[in-house]
Amino acid sequence: MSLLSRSHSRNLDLSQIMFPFLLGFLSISMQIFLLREFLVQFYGNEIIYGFVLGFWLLWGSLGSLLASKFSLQKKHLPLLFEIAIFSSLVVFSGLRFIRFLWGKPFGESLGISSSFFTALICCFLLSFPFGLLFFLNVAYLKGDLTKVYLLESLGACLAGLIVDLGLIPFFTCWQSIALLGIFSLLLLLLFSPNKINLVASALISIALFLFIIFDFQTQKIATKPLPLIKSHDSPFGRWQVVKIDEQITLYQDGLAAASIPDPAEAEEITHFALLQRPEAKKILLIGGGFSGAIEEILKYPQTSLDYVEIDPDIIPLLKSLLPSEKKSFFDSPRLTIHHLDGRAFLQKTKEIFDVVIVAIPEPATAQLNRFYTREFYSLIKDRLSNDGVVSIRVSSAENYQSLSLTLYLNNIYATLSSVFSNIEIIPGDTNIFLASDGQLSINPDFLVTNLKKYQIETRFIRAQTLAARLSPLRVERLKSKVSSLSSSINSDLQPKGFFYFLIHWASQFGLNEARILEFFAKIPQIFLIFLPLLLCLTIFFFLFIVRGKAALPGLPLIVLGFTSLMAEVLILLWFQIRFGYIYEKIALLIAFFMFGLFAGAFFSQKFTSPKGQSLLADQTLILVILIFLLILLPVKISSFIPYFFLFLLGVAGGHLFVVSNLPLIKGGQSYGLGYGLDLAGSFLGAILGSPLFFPILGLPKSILSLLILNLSCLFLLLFYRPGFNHK
Amino acid sequence: MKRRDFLKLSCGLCLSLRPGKLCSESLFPLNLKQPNLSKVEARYYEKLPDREIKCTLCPRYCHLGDKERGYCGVRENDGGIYYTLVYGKVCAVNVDPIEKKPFFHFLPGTLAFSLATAGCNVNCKFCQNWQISQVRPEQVEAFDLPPEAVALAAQRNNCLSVAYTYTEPVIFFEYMVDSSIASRKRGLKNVVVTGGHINPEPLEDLIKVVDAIKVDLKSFSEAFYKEYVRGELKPVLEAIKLIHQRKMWQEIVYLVIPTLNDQETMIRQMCRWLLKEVGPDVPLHFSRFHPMYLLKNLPPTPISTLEKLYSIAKQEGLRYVYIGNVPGHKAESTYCPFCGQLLIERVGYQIERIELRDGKCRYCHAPIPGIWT
Ligand code: SF4
Repeated sequence: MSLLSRSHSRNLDLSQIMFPFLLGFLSISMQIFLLREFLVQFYGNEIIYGFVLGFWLLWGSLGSLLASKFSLQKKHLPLLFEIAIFSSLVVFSGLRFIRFLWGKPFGESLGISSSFFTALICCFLLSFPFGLLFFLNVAYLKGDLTKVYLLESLGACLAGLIVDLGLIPFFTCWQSIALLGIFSLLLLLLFSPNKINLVASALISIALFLFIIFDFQTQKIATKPLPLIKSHDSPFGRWQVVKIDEQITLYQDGLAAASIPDPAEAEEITHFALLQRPEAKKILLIGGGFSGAIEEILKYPQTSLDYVEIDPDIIPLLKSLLPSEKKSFFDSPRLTIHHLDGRAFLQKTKEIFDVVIVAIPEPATAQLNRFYTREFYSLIKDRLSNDGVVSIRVSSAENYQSLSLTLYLNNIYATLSSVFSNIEIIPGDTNIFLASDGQLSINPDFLVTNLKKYQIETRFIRAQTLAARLSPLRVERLKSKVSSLSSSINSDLQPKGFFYFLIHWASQFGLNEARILEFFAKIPQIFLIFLPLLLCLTIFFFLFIVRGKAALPGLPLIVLGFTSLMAEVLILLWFQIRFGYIYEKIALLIAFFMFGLFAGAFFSQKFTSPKGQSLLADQTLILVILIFLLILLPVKISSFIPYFFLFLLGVAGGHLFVVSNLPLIKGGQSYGLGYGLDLAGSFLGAILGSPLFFPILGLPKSILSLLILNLSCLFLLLFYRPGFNHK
Repeated sequence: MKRRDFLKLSCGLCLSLRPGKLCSESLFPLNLKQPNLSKVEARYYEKLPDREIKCTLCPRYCHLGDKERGYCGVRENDGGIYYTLVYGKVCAVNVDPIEKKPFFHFLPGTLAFSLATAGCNVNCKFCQNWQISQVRPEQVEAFDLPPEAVALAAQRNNCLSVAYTYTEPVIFFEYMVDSSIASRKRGLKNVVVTGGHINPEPLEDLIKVVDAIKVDLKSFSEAFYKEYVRGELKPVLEAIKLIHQRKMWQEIVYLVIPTLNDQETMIRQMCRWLLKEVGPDVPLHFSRFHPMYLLKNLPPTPISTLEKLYSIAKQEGLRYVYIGNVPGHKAESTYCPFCGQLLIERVGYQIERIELRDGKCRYCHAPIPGIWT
């Protein structure tokens, strides 16, 4: 039976289509903007992402599981939507001023516990109502869960595309929230004018308009006492500009990216590498061009510079701020700017470079870790001349390197050593790693001789400072400390670098890093591999106690939630490893997955095979996807494969969701139970996946873990199949 | 992909998943050593009934029960006797130019053997050495360097002084005092780089064995001290006064953090206080802040801000005002306050030339305060 010709078609009520659609649409768009805004306030890293995504899913799950406990009625549906929109107002304005709530000044890291609790509260306010709404929608459609899920997936799929391609490139976060809110209220007004509270809607609309008007003003208040002069949201993040006297500082997603003028920084990024090869002709700079590095590189008269900057908005923004003598560098005929992902550029270019300077943010996420792996360094080596030099800069400590910092630096050292034969490290509060197959020297005399010989005018990198910074004691001690451990290297498939970075980051907030590391070192990997199975079975066990055998169809839902979230993140990462981060394509990839969910749910209406068989088929399909993923992970692939995988994963997931939910509902259980279980599984996937499994187990073993989980689920299904044939 | 490739790949994957590797330890090459702690009785504390003690070393006056640790984390009450856990347990050692501490009127152009143990009695949110200052001694890798070895190592490295620095040396007071005595015996000088959180009595004792003290004055506002340092301004000012009264050579460093402690009126007040209590000859260094630790997200100090504060201090009558962490800036050098001639030209940590003769200006013969030989 087709979607519109089901039992309700006699009395076609468009609101039955609109409500679930709006639910999917709003929840996904709010989630995207919450993550973006959180990133600005808490300087996102994988742990912070884990908190936000985890709590989002957890509260959504609890919302739909507990919905039956509230005396909700169908007439509450529009009201609940209004509450959800109002909550978004509270959450996004609260987030903007969050540092005041935590009593922290602008510029101070908010720390782990404050981000944990903020994520907990924000996600409760936003995601819990969405969980309730799922339940109410199913009730509104008289238990037609398939239809709700189908429309919700469609809404989510469209939301992904509209937000990524229609809103983010053109509007700020607050403007987008306001537009989404007003659009949703209009829809509600249109489809259920009698049931919505007009006064409340009018008040919310006014507040949403204020969001648009006072966006910049509120940012100014939030950054006080630093004087904010400009803010710009680009698809790649938020740029904010602060000006004190003659110095401007650029903040990217709340993180200080560069100050201008700040010759110390600009000289540091460039000259240690360039002084190795002062006659280099072709230089490649990946990121960091806004710090004044371009000006420094162009001081070497014979160089031509290729600068790779992923965000096309940054150069025009900088040009609008800099005095004319500073911005003229961007128009130099010796400079070519490429707006591309660094990895994508290296894969595409045919040029050979003499010096490659990597000025990418540190590996705070699995995504950024791509720029610190053996594969990335090999890619650079392929594009380097025989004795070419690559330079990487990371934060460090001048006088003492703690255990976590040593492990982090050691990992970079070991990874570089696996590709290049010579490595030198410049000590200091930041460390510069120079790597080459040719000769390297960080002897101050050598560097100073080159500075003089090539008449390079510098302020900070000069004879008088280099002697102390590069004193033999400091250089030797750092190198021996960093090279003494036998750490395995950071690779695309075993992305460990970001894990060390995160432990080091966490140690700032008073955590005992040695204890944390010891804890992880003691976990047997075999335990981690079976952990998802254990956790899913535990949830199921509790469900089983409460509901008995009727709860059996819940198991595949928990497993599905876990598997689809982890596999989705893994495939996205895989895509970026292979092809680089390409903004539009990532949006499209997610849309493919969502569309897969929709298609899967849609097929479930078409195919009326016995439910047990359908479930087995879905579970088998997921297993096949995982096996192929495992096989294809290390090989070169065509770019359509990840799309295909995500789509298939969506189809299996969407179909499985519906077919295992039906017996739950027909068994007289709550409408929200299946949805809640799915989200509970996803919650586990979010907190375990990229923050833990990817770095500790690596990608292949993470897939192995998923395979074991799904295989066990398949066996259980085979065993208990009769339990699904509810009529 | 060909069938053979496929098979090869599958075998490879199976091998990479082999059980022998299924242990996380190989991924975390840890070599966790046993904590290296000392058990040397502390010198400033009062014994109280019930095996309790009160530490009297710094203005926190920690009052502790048995087995409890002080705020600084490096002193422990064991059965009513108070012990320092970091005596001779050094975690950072370097040979630095004395200008890096910074001392500008103290043996210019010489090297200082610089050392620190773990721990601190305040919590600056902009600490450069947070990895050793904001942790307990068990959390760092420390090695043994008894006082005599300090003196020997300093000499071997051609240092003319030993600098107790990086963390707050007050918390390793006993070790600092003994090392200073040992170094003095070998003809070395001793310098202390402190935040000034120390009680008068131990400070008096310290002054007897060291040669110069640099005090980090972090702000001239109690509110700033409370919020960003978790300490108090008053005891620091008291310490500065006492050091001056005992005629100990002293320099003041003020780290200028944009928007947090760079208010011109406050700086003016501070300069007036210094002038009144310590006199015009105390060198005052305005240092450029580089984003650090928990304040990593603030901008660095604009050079113009430093120049503004420099002019204020000069206007107020301080004679030796410097701008730090801006190599090549003319305010890094020492000028004669009487004839205006350049006396010590500095670039970064290096001395380009010295125009002093026996501690006097070569041009007008005015005495320039400091320890020059
Ligand atoms: S030195 Fe340490 S134990 Fe003693 S009072 Fe100060 S903080 Fe407390």
